[in-house]
Amino acid sequence: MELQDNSHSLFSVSLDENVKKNLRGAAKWAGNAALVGLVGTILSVLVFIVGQSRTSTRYQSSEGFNSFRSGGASQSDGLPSLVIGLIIGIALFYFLNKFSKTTIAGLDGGDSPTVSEGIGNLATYFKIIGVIFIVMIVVVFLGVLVAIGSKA
Amino acid sequence: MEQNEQAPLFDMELDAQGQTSLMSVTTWTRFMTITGFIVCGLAIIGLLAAKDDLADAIASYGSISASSSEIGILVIVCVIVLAIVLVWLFLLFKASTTIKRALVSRNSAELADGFKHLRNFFILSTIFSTLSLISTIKSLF
Repeated sequence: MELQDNSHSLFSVSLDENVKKNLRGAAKWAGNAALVGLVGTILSVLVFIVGQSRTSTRYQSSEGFNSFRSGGASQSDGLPSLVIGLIIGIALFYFLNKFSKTTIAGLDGGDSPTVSEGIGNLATYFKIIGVIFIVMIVVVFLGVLVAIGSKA
Repeated sequence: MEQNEQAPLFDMELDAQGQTSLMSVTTWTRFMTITGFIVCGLAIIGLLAAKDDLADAIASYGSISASSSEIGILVIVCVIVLAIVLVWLFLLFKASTTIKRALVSRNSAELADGFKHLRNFFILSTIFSTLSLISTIKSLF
């Protein structure tokens, strides 16, 4: 019986009260961070739209129809980055919020697979950020190469 | 002995799937934090090295003329911000290494410690996000 218990503990980690308390705390704060992050993303979109409309109106009132066209062009320039930012923001919110809700539900119900599912969402959240990191590093590296190339 | 047999009834256990996911979390967070440390370190070195050129750079952007003491304050503020970011990254790094160690040694106490660091990381993340939110709201008006 004792041998069986030991071999079982070789493959699983016990989630005692202390682990549960700290995991619940992490999940709760992750949920808060996700919510504030989502509100921030939505507000940033609003700021972008308001800023663009102000710029367009300013151009329109000062220089007429021709410059309205140039205001429209700058709006379309920023649109792809805005859409990408919005998609990333929503995806990060989705996975972090799901981690928070699923993990807390799993801990409350004493359901180990649900807790694992929640942690899986946290892994996806960090994977997304990691991939964004890699893309940013590549972009910066290429930028430095271009800058060095243009100077030479 | 009876107590030992009763323990699994009350203690949950993290299954293989959960452990694999946690390992994935530690791998990615480790990569992110080490990259972050390098970037922050380079930024601090760059800031301190280019301190004298900053005044010219600021002046070239407009009519603002910054004295050397103002540049000094600007550099100090930037270094403080970078230091806070380093603390933030350190919390994630500590969470990553502690959780990984806990998974390898099957140590619940270390796992609890790792989740505690992760919680602190998310607390700081919430504070940063709130500050960013306030600045976004300010820019609306």
